[in-house]
Amino acid sequence: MDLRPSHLRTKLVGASRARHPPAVDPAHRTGRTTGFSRFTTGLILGLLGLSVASADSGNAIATDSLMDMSLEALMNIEVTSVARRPQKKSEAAAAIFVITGEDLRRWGVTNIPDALRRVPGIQVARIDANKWAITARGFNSRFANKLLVMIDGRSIYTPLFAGVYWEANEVMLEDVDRIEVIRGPGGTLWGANAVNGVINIITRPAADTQGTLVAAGAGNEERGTASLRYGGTSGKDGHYRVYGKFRSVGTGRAIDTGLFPPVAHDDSNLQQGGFRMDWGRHTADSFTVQGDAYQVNAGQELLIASASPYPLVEDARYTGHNLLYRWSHRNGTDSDYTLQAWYDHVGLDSAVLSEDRDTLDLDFQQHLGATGSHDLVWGLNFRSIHDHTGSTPTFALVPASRTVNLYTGFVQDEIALYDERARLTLGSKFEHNDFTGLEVQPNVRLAWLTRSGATVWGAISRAVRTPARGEQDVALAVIPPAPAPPPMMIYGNDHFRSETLVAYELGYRFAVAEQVSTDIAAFYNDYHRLRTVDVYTATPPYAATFNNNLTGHTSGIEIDSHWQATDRLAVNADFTQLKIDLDLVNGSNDTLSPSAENSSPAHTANLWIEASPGRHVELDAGVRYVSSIRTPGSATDIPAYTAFDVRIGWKPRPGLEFSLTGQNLLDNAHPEFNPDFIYSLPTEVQRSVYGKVTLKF
Amino acid sequence: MRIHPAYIPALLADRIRLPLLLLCWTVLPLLPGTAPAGDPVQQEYQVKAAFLYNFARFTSWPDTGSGTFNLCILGNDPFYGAIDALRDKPVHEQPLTVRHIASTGEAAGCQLLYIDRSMSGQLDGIIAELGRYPVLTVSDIDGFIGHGGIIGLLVINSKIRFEINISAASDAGLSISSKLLTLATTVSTGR
Repeated sequence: MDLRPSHLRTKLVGASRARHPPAVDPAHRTGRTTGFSRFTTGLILGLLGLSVASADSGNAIATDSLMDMSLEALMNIEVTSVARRPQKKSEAAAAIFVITGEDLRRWGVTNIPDALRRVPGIQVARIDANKWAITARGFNSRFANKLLVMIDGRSIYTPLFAGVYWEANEVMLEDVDRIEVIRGPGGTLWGANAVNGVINIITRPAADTQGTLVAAGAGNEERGTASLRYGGTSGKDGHYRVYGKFRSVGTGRAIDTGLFPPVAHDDSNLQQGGFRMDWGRHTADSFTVQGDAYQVNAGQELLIASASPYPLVEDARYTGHNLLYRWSHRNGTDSDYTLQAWYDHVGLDSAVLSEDRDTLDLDFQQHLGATGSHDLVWGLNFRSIHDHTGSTPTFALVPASRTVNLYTGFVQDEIALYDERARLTLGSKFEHNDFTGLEVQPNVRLAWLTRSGATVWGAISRAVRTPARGEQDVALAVIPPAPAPPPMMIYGNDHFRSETLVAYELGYRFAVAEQVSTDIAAFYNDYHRLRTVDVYTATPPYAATFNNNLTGHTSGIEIDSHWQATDRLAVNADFTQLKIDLDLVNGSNDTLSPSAENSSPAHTANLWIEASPGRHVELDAGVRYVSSIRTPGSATDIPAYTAFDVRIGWKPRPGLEFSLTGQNLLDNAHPEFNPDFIYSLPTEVQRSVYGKVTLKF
Repeated sequence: MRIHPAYIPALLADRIRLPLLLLCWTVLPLLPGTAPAGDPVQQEYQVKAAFLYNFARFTSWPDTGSGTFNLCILGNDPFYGAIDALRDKPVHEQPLTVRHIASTGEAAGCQLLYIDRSMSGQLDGIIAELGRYPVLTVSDIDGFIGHGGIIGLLVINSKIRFEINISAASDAGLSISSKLLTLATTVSTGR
């Protein structure tokens, strides 16, 4: 199974819900490799500052003569078709769900989190109109720390708390090719934090976004969005695009605590721009340079230690820019190597927390291709993170500035057995970090293809969640929500260790008829050394520190099914069940961490249709159910809710599209989550209606 | 002078720390790349690319278009570079351009649309959406012309063959030359 980050391999064919029949994956065609020696030569030449002239791709030359042949002559050429079986999503030994760019358009979502709501095994909850709690397979929180999220191979989780600032990481949805979601540790090949899942957001190559796109929308909650993109060519073999995006989102509905007037201040606005350039799309060497810059102002009301009984109202300001360079070399069609470098800057300025962080990441991966029945991949990664943080009465890091280095290597072999009916994958990741030293994360996976075309797979993997900088160095004043006990200080712990997971997974994919496909995944996760917050003072003022005194297991089942009823109607359904059992050990007195048992819904279900009632008309509707939860520190449940979303699209001519979308239509407003650690006031999600027009020319 | 892409990071790196600059210079050299010419799979699609060129030459469109002949590829590109040999070749006295598109909505202006196998699940929707636009649809999806496609590519006894749905062609306002019709394995008249 090829579970490398997507930019390093060709796409998972047969997209979500296995709705496409087998397609040929060029990375798995026959061929031989000579890549490494060439790489070494190139490296040496590069070190010497020399460059070697590029040779034209050999196949293009060969094709030239074909073009001059008559049709009759062409019909006499013998061709050899693909020998090796293609790799399909439906045969992968992992729980995978793919959201395509077309899905994003048809679902009418305006952001990535809303799209993830339809993925089984992923828990998505909105805290306020700009903050989210998103996780895979449990442990949800705004600071959920067991999910790796990447945009085009660039990790976006913050090493401060090992979670994601969803409010600051947007993409231009029209440029998204697909979002691949892998539940479970996902394999050997992913970077740090891929414990419970991996989300990989992949944008389209610049060649696929040529021309001009203008999109604008407005509504009651989605106050205004505007996107502009232009794509063109550069030279013989280069493509580029530039884009700009503006988005303004209104407030949610304030929750009346009875303590102060309920006025929501969680509106936000974003400005973002970026570019992507690709060269050599079809030649042996291809290059990509891409970058983005953004600024987000996100309102919040904070309960922090201060003299005032009222929350502090402010706009948190996020700024960031990044630049990624990638060079891929393909030898024939079966082996390749990729060198990637990215730099990322994130700035956050708020009343609680201010930080500036620079990350430099270098990555080399080589796919040695098939040798007999073996298919080998290995890679090396170096990441250096430098931050500079400001201290406030609520939050400080000691030291305020720190550089953390991460060294990772991995090797994986995929072995075809029994006439390629079975695939055994063996691999391990070796990760060295500054806090806990070397961490070894092996996994073994087996996929078995039955004669009826179904796939049965199983996997056992070990994964670790390495300490976040905050868990080592923080001094944080916490005021839990009302009824408010006195503030408590939480201090980082140099001896905080990695959380560990051994995951056991089983999956079954089958098609009842050609039109109906079903994907079932079940798991049992065994966790040790999970984080606790242990209070070590007997009387106020309370002080606590992070320890590893929680152990437990989670289990669950995730089912998704796709039914292509007619040419014009598809029906999708998914269901997730999740059970979490956590136990304190070593006499820990932590009352907050074990309550993560209840912070993720035990059941979620989705049902949605994609219909095309007329040639130019699209109708998409979805209903979803999320069972009740209780967030850590809360005295009451957040009730279960059912939401209904619908989108009507009209395409009077190619390149022009009007749409009207309604979201959360069943109730005026409902709450979804409460924050933890940093107590901003949550708000409720309101009914939303917006219209959008998209023009491409 | 055109800057080679290998040096772009260094040129863009003025805002980036020195280590990245150094690393880009040292480990991002340009390598000569030559794919093995005899790769059997490439060969199949090299030949299929040549067929596309001939299909374009032996089909007439109702209007002469925008100054370029646009060949579009919907879905994954199976040609792996072979299609590049077609760029700027004359078709009906217009230079051929190649566009990769991700959805039928972008097919405006395409004279010839190659639909990759990866799109076979959505084939009926694609054909319906194209409607009667003068677009020559070509694909090697099994049973393509039975779904309303115009030219289907086949491999029979290791040789490339094609079949034509003549009524789909005339619905689209296209006229296919008798040369193609003669060489086609099957000429079908129904959906």
